[in-house]
Amino acid sequence: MDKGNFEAGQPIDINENDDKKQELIERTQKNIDDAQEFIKEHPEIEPDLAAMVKKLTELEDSIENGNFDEAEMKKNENFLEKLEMFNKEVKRSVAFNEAQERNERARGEWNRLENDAKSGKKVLDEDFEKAEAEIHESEDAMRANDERVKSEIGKTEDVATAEIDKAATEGKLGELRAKNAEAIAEYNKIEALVNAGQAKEEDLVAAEERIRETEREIAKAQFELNDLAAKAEDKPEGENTEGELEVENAESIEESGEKKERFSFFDGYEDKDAKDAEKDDKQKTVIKKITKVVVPTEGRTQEEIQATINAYKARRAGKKVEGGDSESDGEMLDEESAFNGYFEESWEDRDLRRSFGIPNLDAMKEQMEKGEISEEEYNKAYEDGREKMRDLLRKTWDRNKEINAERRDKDEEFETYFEEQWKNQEARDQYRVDKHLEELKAKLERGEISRGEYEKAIVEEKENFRKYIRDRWEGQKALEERDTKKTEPIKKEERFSFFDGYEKEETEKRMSLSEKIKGFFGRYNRVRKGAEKGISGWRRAVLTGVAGSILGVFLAGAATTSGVFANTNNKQDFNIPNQPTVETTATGDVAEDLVASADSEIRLGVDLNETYGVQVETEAEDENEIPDVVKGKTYGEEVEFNIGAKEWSGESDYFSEAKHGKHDLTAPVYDIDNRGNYEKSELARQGVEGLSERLDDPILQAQFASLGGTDIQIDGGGAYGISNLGQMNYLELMAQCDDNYRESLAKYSKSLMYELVDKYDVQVDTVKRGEVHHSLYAMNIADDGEMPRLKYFVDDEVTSKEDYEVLKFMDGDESVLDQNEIGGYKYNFLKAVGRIPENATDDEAITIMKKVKILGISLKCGQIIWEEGGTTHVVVKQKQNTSGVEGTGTENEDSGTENEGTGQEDTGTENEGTGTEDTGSEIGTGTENEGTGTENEGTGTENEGTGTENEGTGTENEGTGTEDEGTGVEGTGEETTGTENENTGSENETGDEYDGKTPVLPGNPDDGWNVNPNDTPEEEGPKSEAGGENGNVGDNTPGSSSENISIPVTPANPENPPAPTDDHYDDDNSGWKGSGQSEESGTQDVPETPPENKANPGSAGENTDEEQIKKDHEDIMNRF
Amino acid sequence: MTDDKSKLNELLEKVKNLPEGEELPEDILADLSQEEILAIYIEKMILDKGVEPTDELRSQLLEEIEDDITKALVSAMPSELVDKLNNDIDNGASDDALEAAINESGIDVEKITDDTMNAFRDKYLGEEK
Repeated sequence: MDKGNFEAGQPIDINENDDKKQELIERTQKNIDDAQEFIKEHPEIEPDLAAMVKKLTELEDSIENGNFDEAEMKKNENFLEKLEMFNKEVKRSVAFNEAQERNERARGEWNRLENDAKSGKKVLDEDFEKAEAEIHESEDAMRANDERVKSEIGKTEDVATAEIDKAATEGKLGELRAKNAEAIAEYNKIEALVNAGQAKEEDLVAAEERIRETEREIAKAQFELNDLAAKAEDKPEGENTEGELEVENAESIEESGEKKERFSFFDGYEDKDAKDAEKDDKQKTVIKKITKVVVPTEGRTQEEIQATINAYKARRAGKKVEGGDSESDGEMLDEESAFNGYFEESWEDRDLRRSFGIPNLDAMKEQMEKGEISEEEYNKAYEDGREKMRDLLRKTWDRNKEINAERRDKDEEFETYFEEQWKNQEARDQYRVDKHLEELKAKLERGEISRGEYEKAIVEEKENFRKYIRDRWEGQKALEERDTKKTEPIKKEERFSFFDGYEKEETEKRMSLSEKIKGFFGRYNRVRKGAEKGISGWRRAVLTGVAGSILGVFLAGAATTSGVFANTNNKQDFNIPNQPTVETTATGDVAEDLVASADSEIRLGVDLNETYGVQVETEAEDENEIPDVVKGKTYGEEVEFNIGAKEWSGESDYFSEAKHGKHDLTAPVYDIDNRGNYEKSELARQGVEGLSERLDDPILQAQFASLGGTDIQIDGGGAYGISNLGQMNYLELMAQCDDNYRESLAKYSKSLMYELVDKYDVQVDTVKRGEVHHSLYAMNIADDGEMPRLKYFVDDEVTSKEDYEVLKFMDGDESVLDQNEIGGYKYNFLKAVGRIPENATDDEAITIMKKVKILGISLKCGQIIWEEGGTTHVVVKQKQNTSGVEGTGTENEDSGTENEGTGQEDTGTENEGTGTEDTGSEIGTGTENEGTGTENEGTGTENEGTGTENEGTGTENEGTGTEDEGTGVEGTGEETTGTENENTGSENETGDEYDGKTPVLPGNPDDGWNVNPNDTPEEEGPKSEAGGENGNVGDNTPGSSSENISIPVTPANPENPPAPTDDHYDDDNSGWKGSGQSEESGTQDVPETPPENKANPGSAGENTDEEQIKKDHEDIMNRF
Repeated sequence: MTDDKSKLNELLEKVKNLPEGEELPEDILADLSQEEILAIYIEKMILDKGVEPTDELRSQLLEEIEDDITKALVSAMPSELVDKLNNDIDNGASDDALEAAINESGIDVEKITDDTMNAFRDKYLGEEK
């Protein structure tokens, strides 16, 4: 609308215009107030009125701020009138619908009475009369509404409605165009990124699809607008303006139902019977109506116009095809016409044509015009192209038809099932249907609700029951699918069936070509290039699922070598924070970037809190150095990460907009209201509800789905296992960036949740403050904060700072998540988190399971948490007299096992005088050993089963330390011992650290290195230092343990702890204070690393992958 | 699949020891044949699955993955191209001619190959041992 246009129109009287202006403003404001008031009363119609309020507000602003001549002011007034009309129409429609609802209910009541009477039940006449009266009254109300509108508006209803809708559609069209512009801008941006190699082709395709989607919406809105414009102007046929072509289209509508459709706020509340009755009524009153669509013709060829017309027809027809009610309607365009429309619309899409391998007809046309090709050639190409595309589209069309048919079958199947359940007393009891109905009736009798409300509530009750049954039904279906898959492993024939969907002849010729061309493809450079891509993609996948892959181990090893993980300190002492559910940002294609730049995130000082909800502070003096300890805050919880020191160089382009915000998750709340047996615990019910809300999060989805341990069927993407950490991480990552994965995973985890909730009693248990437990939380920190490298240096053992609840699913007295059964939830989960090696025997798996206790699912964060009862505190000690470089990793592990059980090494080794004493006496006691800090290894073993004590027993340990060592000074490190004990387990899993009391023996560079990742420098007491110092011995000794460790000596565990760094090396041996005797042995041993070691600094490089896998297995097994 | 195990191991080591976060550098892949690249791929796949790699298994998987790639490419071709290539090969067409025909068709050979390899790996790892 023009503003301040004084030239146009007649000269105006300023004062008069001001009065008019004021009047219009007041009228507009009144309408806004009315509408807003009405929205308050009827919030369900807000979507309908919101657009009008927006228009009114814009109009008011425009009138208030603009200067208009008389003619323009008149236009404003006219527009206001239309909006007023719309306002009235909405109110009328609401009233109409309410009256209609009343009418339907009354008819329902009448029918019920009639049925009762027919079946011999006693029915009072007055009830009949009451129902009949209500029917008449409501019908009167409906009629009165119609009459009033007609008199008030003074136009035919259709025209009035069309005018109003037209105004609303215009607004919508503007919004859609803006969306389209955004989509185009986004496409351009992504295209640039793709060209720069920073985004995937798939992203571009998705962006293109968004453009198409907005274009389709615009086209649709434009059609609607044209349609409405024709209606609003009430043009007789043939009176279109120049440049327009009118399309007539027969469609079935129900006259009075039209408004109901527009303002049907109570859809979904009617019960099925009522709907069926309504349908019957509609069929009786169906009339034919001609709608007019104005198609622009100016500047368009006949073909284009026809294509548009066909597309329009197809759209309308397609809508009905989707509805799947073509036969009953009997008014739908025939299918061929619908397909033609679909084809024409597709033909218009040049990119689509190209994707079908059709020549560039535009270019050919130009060539033809230049005389480069003949008209015949062009025409032939044109016709051939159309024919080819038609054939291909026909296949798609037919497939979609089949899918729709399947969907309809499924719906029908459900309806049958639902009706059975409605009659099934057990199902009714589960949902407490009768109880609810009784309560409603009681309310009615007490006069707390009106009869109308009562009847509406009854309908709602049935509808809610339907939702409940639907969920259960879908859950069962998902489980059936899963069970089917369990018993039917993928067959190779299926895997390699590439030619499905082709006709026999087509298949044969392709099979023939496949044979003939095989040799060529072996030499074809583009295939080779593709293979390069494939290997890169594989590396990416592997990177994200490190634990399950050798390559991941190598990368972890490489990282360790670089020092990033050196002297990792795994001590965590923080609460489990709430799991964020709003956004995840990691994307599959940038997995490598994530890993590569994780450390740079810290150094670069990016405001992670603002961007990702993670705060990180560093205290590095040199900007090129990452400090040992990073204090972080993630989702409101203080955490510390010890990451050792690392020289950083290079730049990261990770923090670019294009690599973030792949999608925002929206959490669907699954209906669990009426599921499960929670007995006395409301908290349990709430917990399940909370869990269901969180199952939208790929991290939790993957974790939860791992309980099932079977393949997850990804729509269009095959089946993905989830039986090791690598696979779980991969799925999780894919779920973050791919809707199909996320939806499939959500579906699967949902079915599992239903299985648990439906089959077992849900209980809540408490994990006490101070207890140590494990979860994948640490990984979540990494993912949520987009600091994947934290996965490696943050161990997954945490100490509770407060009591908190966990969900348990009980089968009698037994928690089903903690049953030690092969193939059970626990087995599946422990395999998925890497606690049970992939190639473990059943006996080994059972042994491991017995050592682990699944505590349940945290109500706070949704994580599955478990404790290992000190089992991971098992340490690796050297084997006496081991020799040779080759055997390092494996031998060490073996020796560790042996040592634990026997303590022979301790006694037999002079160097370990302290150790001998400790182990001997400490076995079974634990506490005494810990006092010495560096001697914790022994403690871990001995303390198996006493994890709880170790964790929080810093004070107790101190005392014992003094006793053991007799050295007094070192034994005082109370905190140190406590800390060390807690973390021993974690460290065992991930890497080696020097055991202060264990001598480093010649011939075995790993000797004396022990799994103890828990030395947090800041918190360590004097004895911790000793540990740290010992750890550094390796670094100072070429070919010694640190080098061995840095290479993946302990493969298959991405959380390999780093080797100690020089930072903690104590040149004057002061670090050995913790044990006088050990000190000597330690310092003496280190420089004595034999020449063979130096020559063979890393055993991993020499080990074959097979050996590493074997070693991986053994390493894990040794922990248990 | 190369029979030269030591060469294969050497190649594997190269891949394994890449600095993290880096793409495979050209100099590692540049000298490799398509078969060698696939061999590396297969080898890692077997290891990731945790089964014993044998020459027989390697050969079988290599054959299968090559077969899959071929079929995927043929499957993606428009019908006319299938006819043309069948005909051309029967008439002794050169590699260059075949290459030109496929290039003209516009099918994304690299992507199809990449996708097929990934799918093959996923399927293989998803199968029972």
